[in-house]
Parts: sequence; structure tokens; C-alpha cells
Amino acid sequence: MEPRIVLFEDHLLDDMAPVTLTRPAFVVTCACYTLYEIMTQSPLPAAVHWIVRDFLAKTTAQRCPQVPIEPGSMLFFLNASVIPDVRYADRVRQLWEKGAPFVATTGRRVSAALVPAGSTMPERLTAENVTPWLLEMKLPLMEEELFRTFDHQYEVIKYLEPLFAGNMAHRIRTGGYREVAPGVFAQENVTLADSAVFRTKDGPVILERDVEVADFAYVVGPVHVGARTRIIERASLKENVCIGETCKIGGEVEASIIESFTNKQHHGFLGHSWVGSWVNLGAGTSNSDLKNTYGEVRLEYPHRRVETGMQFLGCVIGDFAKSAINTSIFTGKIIGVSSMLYGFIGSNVPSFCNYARSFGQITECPVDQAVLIQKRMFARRSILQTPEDVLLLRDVFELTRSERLISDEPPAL
Amino acid sequence: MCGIFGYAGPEARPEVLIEGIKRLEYRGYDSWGLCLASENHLSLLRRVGRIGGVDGSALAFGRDGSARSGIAHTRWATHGAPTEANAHPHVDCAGRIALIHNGIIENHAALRATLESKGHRFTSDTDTEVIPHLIEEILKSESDFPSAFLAAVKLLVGAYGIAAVWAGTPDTVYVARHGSPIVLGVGRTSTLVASDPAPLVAHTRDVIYLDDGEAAILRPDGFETRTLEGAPVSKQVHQVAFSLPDIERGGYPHFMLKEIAEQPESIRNAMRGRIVRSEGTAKLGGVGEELLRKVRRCHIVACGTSWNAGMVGKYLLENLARIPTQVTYAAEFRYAHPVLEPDTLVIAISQSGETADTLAGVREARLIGAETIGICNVVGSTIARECGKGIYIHAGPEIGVASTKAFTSQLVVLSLLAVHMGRMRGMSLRAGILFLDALERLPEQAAQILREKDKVAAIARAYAPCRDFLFVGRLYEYPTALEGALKLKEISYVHAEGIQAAEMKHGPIALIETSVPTVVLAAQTEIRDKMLGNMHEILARSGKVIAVGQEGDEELARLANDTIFIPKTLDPLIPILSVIPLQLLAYYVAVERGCDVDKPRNLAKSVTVE
Repeated sequence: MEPRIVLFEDHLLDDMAPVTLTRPAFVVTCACYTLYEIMTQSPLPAAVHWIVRDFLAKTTAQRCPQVPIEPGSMLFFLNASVIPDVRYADRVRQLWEKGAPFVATTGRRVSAALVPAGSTMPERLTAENVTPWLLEMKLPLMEEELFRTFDHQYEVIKYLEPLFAGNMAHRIRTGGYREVAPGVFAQENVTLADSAVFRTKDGPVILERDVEVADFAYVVGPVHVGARTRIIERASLKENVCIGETCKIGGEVEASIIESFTNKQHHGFLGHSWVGSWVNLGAGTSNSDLKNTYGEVRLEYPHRRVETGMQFLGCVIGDFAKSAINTSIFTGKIIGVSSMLYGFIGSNVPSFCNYARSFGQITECPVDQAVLIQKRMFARRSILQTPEDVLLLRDVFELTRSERLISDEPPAL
Repeated sequence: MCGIFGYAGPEARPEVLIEGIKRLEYRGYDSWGLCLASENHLSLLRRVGRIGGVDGSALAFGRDGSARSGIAHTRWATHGAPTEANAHPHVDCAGRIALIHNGIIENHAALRATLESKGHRFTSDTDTEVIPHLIEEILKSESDFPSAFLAAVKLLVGAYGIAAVWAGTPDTVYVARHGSPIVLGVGRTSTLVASDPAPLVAHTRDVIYLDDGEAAILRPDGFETRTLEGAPVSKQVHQVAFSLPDIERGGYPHFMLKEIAEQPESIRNAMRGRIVRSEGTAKLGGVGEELLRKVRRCHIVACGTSWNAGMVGKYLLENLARIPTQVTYAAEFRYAHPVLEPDTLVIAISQSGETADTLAGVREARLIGAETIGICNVVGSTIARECGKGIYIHAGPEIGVASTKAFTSQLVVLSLLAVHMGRMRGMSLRAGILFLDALERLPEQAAQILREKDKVAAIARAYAPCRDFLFVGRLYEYPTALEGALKLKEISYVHAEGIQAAEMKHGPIALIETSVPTVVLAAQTEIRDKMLGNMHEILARSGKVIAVGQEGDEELARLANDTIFIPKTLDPLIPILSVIPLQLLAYYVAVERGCDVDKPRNLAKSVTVE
């Protein structure tokens, strides 16, 4: 019997903002996979049900098919924040086939549990009540941490390199690619300019269908490029780069993740960063990923700082954010959803902000304006803006209202 | 330290008053006395010794039925030897004002000199006697007794809980408080006052906790509460949670043994409703989340057994929550000009919540600006109220002078606090759950130890003739060693020392000889082998070893002369189990030596003086 997996979000996602403000944790891309993909594809594939925060349910339903839960049946609960490591597919299958009930924790959260058949379940499982329910069943507690999880948004970047080789090898093995050049694996209808250069000594390059690589592009593997994405002229993609579908990528990109429908068309450096969907980085936008002191990068959170343990760490940019020309983002900054950036970005930026701090201007970006921009961007990609898309933006606007209190701070550089 | 009891109502009889102070006898018991107030007449009775020895003549005293109120007192001497003259109540020159007092009047010498110069004649050595004379003096110029009473009380410097009767208003008891506990009881036909709720529950469960600087006037049909300035004060009526049988011995020969045996239940009560397994943490409603989150250091202030609990708390907070923690004797803290860094949390531990030194420590800490929380047993006690925030240990009344169940309950609460603060600071969910699960197993494990009490009794009988004992332990078992030694000293008058085991070789090992047994605490897995090394050192010098180890440790049992096993648990929780055999050991040694277990000499339960 195929495993029945419940991917569940929990109540510990605050430190993952803005990455999980607009998407469930199980569709965060890292090292060319999302957890949802791993659980629904070979070698599992499992029948997946998901539990997400209420405001994400409708948009998640649009992109992640699921099967209903059969109450009283044996179920494998897997935390949506578990990192997308292809090796976990085998681990899940083994635990499922063993059939021994357990609950496993990782750090502060429940990472997985095998709930035996006949267990009584709450009438409605939610992101809030699923973890307490799993723990109160007093299933045997696993001694070791079976699954690692993303606990902070910067860890999406941290896990990129350790996961990349294994995940890429798995994708090549199972994806039906053609090796169009040494170490370059392509799906159908891929266009490669003759002058494009691929260096694959330290890792392969995977190009999904309809990818176009323009003249003088320089690609150093491992790199994964999603379907319909264009790598424009003179672009430089260097090691551990993971790009989603329908993007336009130019300039210099290193060790970064770019989610689908994002444009970084012009010159400028993006390094050790995660960039959400529907982001547009203006010409000359660059980020720093190394402190002048060469020291460890620390991230600012409300009321505390977190040591990342990383010497190279760029920025995290939420969905729908835009940067003006020559925007400069300092090391280790977090940019919220639907914010507009101008000039020097020396501090974290809340969601829905017009952020021109170096010019003395920080104002709230009205949600109606964000909705209008979304509609225009979707239209350019022939995507119909749905009421659910609009509602999500409005919900996130409300959820992040308190972040914008920092707009009262005096501008400083 | 004393117990006071007062009654205004239709049953103002000696047996009612005597029954009242019997329930306070643990607060002091070197002498006692009572006074019945009738129309223009006070009847006074005072005795040296225990209330248990009340004779027929005392019960026959004042039985003409004319009394309308009465006060009674059980004393623990602070000023003046335990004599009949020094026993309370004390009266004025005219014998129309009788007064009982708990506390110390610091300016009594100056007041006495002034009053003597005005012709007042004193008959005792006590500080208390100045008060009725002072009221008498003020009454010469004040028209009404309540005003004179308040005026006199305002002249007192020190700590006091006072109850007085006046022959002019025989149905009224006058009460004032500053620094010593006072609880009022509100019955249907009577109003009462006592040092704590224990003697009130036979009459009523509705009680009022008087605060410092407050006074009350009690009549059979009601009461008034005022500030010492005379302004009316509105007070909240609380319901006493425990019943009379709770404070009876329940068939045990001594309160101490009863309270040792109650520990499975009291441990359970200390954690009841506070474990949130679904989050791997504890819920401590009396302490603000924001406060605990911002704390960077802890400073535990306590005395005696509570200090030993605080030492365990230090290890818990440092190991589980990684918060630097210091433990200081409250009396030292008060006068040592303590340095408290910003975001330091001062944790005051006191079973009674009235411990004078600890209370002074709390006040000192608050003066410096530190946040304070109390860990107390008595709800509404002064420390609990002055701290404002805190965690009650819910151990129930502890009557035996030697603290037993309060200690283990304090450790449970400290464990909950540590795991809660640990989870706020990166302790993993799994570690939290494992800790809480182990905590939840403790009541049954404590019961398992208690089922072996006859074995401990046999060991105690064998070693009872010894005049000196050593208790050695490391880490969590070091404070347990201190507590084991303290218990033995308290109730059996045997010299005992608690020693950090590694320190043996720096001096104490010179004490080892056949007649000096050593209790070796070796239940912790982390340092068990080190403790075995200590045992070898003791045995090699012909010392006798009583070992306390985890069940199944056969090597330990082979080495030791006698072994007491405790069930397996996590190292940080071992003191909660390993102290129980030490309590039993002390108890049975004391019984074997013929000591009065519940009322050890020179000691009293609630130390409300410095």
C-alpha cells in the first residue's frame, strides 16, 4: 500500500517569514526540490494530504493536489518544514513499512509521527492543533532526530549546498534528461547559444523544458534552471544556483535560490540569497553576502539577534518585492512581501513598505496598490488573477501590520 | 516566633481558645496563655510548657459563661526566658487591657523607659509588655479605645501581629499587623483572628489576609478593617482550600512521618495542571512570560531547607535553561549589599512565606529594582504577596518543624521553572518532553521508596547510637547531602555534616572512623563512578557507608555496608527521590533516640524573626 502522508504546518513559522508568508513550508524550494515534490514523486510516491495555516488553504489547493484523510487509518505525519532532502523519501517509506508508531522531534518541533490505525483524531486538524494532538497521544518518542527542519528563513540558503549534490543526482537519475553537453542535462526544447559556457567539473547543470540560455552566458554547476526560464546574455550563474520556472536571469548569481516568475534581468550581484516569486530586481541591484569583518552573519529578529553560523549570507526577499535601479542590500537583510526598495537597504524591511530610508522616506504600500501590481504582473505571463490570490495578499497585509511600526523610526544610513 | 488566636463570639470559652492555639503550636511551644473578656473584667491564664499538657483547672477556668471574646497565644521566646511571667497575654497596670503579640518590638527598651518614668509597672522581661502599657498611657488622653490602640501601634518599631481585648468592650478583639502574619476568619456568629488559617477552619473557611500597616476591629457580628491611620480599608474574602483533617496527623505517630508519606501526593499537586506535554514545557500562570523571557541571571534567596532547595534550583536553571544562577542565604543577601545586574530575577523560596530574613531579602531586592518571584507554600503569605508574582508549591499544611514535603514540592516547582525557561532558550522539544515525562513518574516512584521504609527504619536503628554522621554527594546530590544532614541535626540532635564529596580529601576525610557513618549519595549516572571512588576512600579508612543508589546498582550494594535503592530517573530529578530515604533515616534515628520529632528543641516552624 502506498504511504499516506500528511504534510502539516505547525505554529512555529514566525522565523520563516517572509518565505512562508505566501506559501506553505512544503513548497519552499531548496536544492532543486520542494518537500511536496519529493513526497509525491518517485521513489515514493505517496498519497499526500496537507494541513496548512487557514489563510493559505485556497491558494495551496490551486497548486498542490491532495487526497482526503481517511479517519482511523494509519497515517504518516511529516512536518511541512522538513528540508527537501531526497533521502527522506526512503526514510519515510521504511518507517511506513515498519508500521511502528512513533513521534520524532527536531529542535523545538515535532518533525514526524506514524499514527496507528484506529487513533481518534480531532474533528478538524489545523496547523495549531496538530502538534499538540500528536504529542498528547504519547506515541513512543524517537531517540534520534530523524528529519531536519527549516527553523529560520536563512536555513533555506544554509542547506542549499549540503543538499544540492544528492538532490541533483536524484533528479538526473529519475527525470529522463538528455546529456546535451558534458555534465549538462536538458529536457525537451532547450535552446543553448553556441557561445554559452558550461563548467560542470564540480557539479552538473540541469535545464528543464523550454529553457533558453543566451549568448556569452557562463554557468558553473551545480545549477538547476526551471522550465521556460531565460538566462540572458552575459549572465553568470556560479555554483549552487537554483532557479524556478518562467524567470529571466541576468547579471551575476551565486549560491542562491530564485523562485518562479521572478525577474533579475540586468547586471548586479545576487549571492547566498533566497528570492521569492514575482520579484523584480531593477538594473544594478546588488546584495552583499560577506561582512567587511569576514565575521559570522547575524540576523535581526524582533527583540533578538540570531547567530547564523554562516560567513556568507546575502538576503531573503519576499514574494512580489521590487527593487529600483542600483538598490544595494546589505549583508543578512530580510525583505518583506510586496515591498518596494530604493537606495541602500541597511536594515530589515517589513512587508508592504515603500522603503527609501536613505532618502528619508518609509511609507506603507497600500494593499490595493499591491493587488493592482499583482494583476499587471500576472497579465504579462498570461495568468489570471484569482480572488484567492487577492485575498492572500490582503491576509498577509493584515498579518504583517505590526511589522510596519518600524516606519516610525527616524531614517538613518 | 509565636502563634496568636483570637475569638469574638458566643463561644468564648477556654477550650475554643486552647484548640485554636494547639493548631498553631508548631509556631512555638515553650509557653502559652489566654485571656477571656467579660463585662469590665479580664480573666487571665498563663502556663509554661506545651499546650498538650492543659490540665482540668485550665479548662475549668472562666466557665461562668460571661466571656464575650478571648485571645490566646503560644510562644517561642525571643525576649525573656520561657516563664509564666513572660508568657502572653500581657496586661496593663490596671489589668483592663490584655494583648498577645507575634514579632519583635525593636524600640521596646526606649518605650519601656519612658513608660516606667510615668509610673507604669512591668512584670515581665518581654518586649511585648510595653504595648498594653502604651495603650493604657494613651488612653489617658484619648477618649476611645480604638483610637488609643492605633495611636500606640503607630509608635512601635519592628514586626508585629497583635490581638488585644479591653474590659471596656468585652465583645471586641483589636488587631494590627506589620511584618508578622495575621489572618481574620469570618464566621456566622463569630469573628476570629490567627497567625495562619489552620485554627480558623474549625469555625469558618472565609478568611481575610491583613496586610502590613492594617488593623481590624472584630465583633461577633462583623468586623472593620482600617489602616493604622484609621482610614477604612476594603478587604477581599478568600476561601481556605484545605480542611481540618488535612492538618490532623491522620493516624501517623508524628506529623513529620505523615508529611513524608504525603509526598507522592504533594509532588503530584506541585505539578498538577502545570505540565504542557504538547509543548514540552510548563505553564506557570503566576509568573509573567515576558519577565521570564528577558531574565539573564537568577539569584535565589532562601534559608534552611529552602536554601538547600535553592541549590538544586541553581543546578536546574543552569543546566536546563543555561541561566547563570546564584544562591544566597537570605540573611546574608540582606546585609551584603548585593550586586544585581540588570535583568536579574530574584527568586525567594520560603515554605511559610513569612520567613523574616527571606522577606527582608525580597524587600532589599525590590529596593534595588530587581524583579522578584516567590516560591511559597502558604497562599496569601507575606512573601507571596510582596513579590506579586510567584509559584505556589501546593504542598498543603506542613506542621512538622522539619520540612519534608515542602522541600520536594519546592524542587518540583523549580524543575518546572527551569524546563519552562529552558524551552524559552533553545532546549529541544524532545528534551522538554523527556524531562516532563520523568517528572510525571515521580509520585509513583516516591511511593515505591516509601514502601521500603521499614528497611530504612532498620538501618536507622542500627546507626542511631552514632554521634556523628557525614553526608556526601556531588552536583544535584550535594544539596541533597546538605538536606539529609540538616534533617538529622534538626530532629535527632545528632551532629551531621553535608559535604561535597570531592572536598572530603581536603579535610573532612580526617573524621572518618568506624563510629562515624557516611551516607554516600551515588544515584546520579553522570558522576556515579566518582562517588564509588569516594566510597572506596571511606571504606579503606574503616568508615561505614550507607549508600543511596539507583535500583539495580549491584556493585554499589556490594561495596556499601548498607544500601537504599531509589528508582531510576533523570539526574536533575534525583534529589526529589533521594531525599526521601534521608528524611526517613533522620526520622527513625530521632524516634530511636527518643526525640520529640515534631517539636525539636530550640526550633520552631516559621522563622519570622531575624
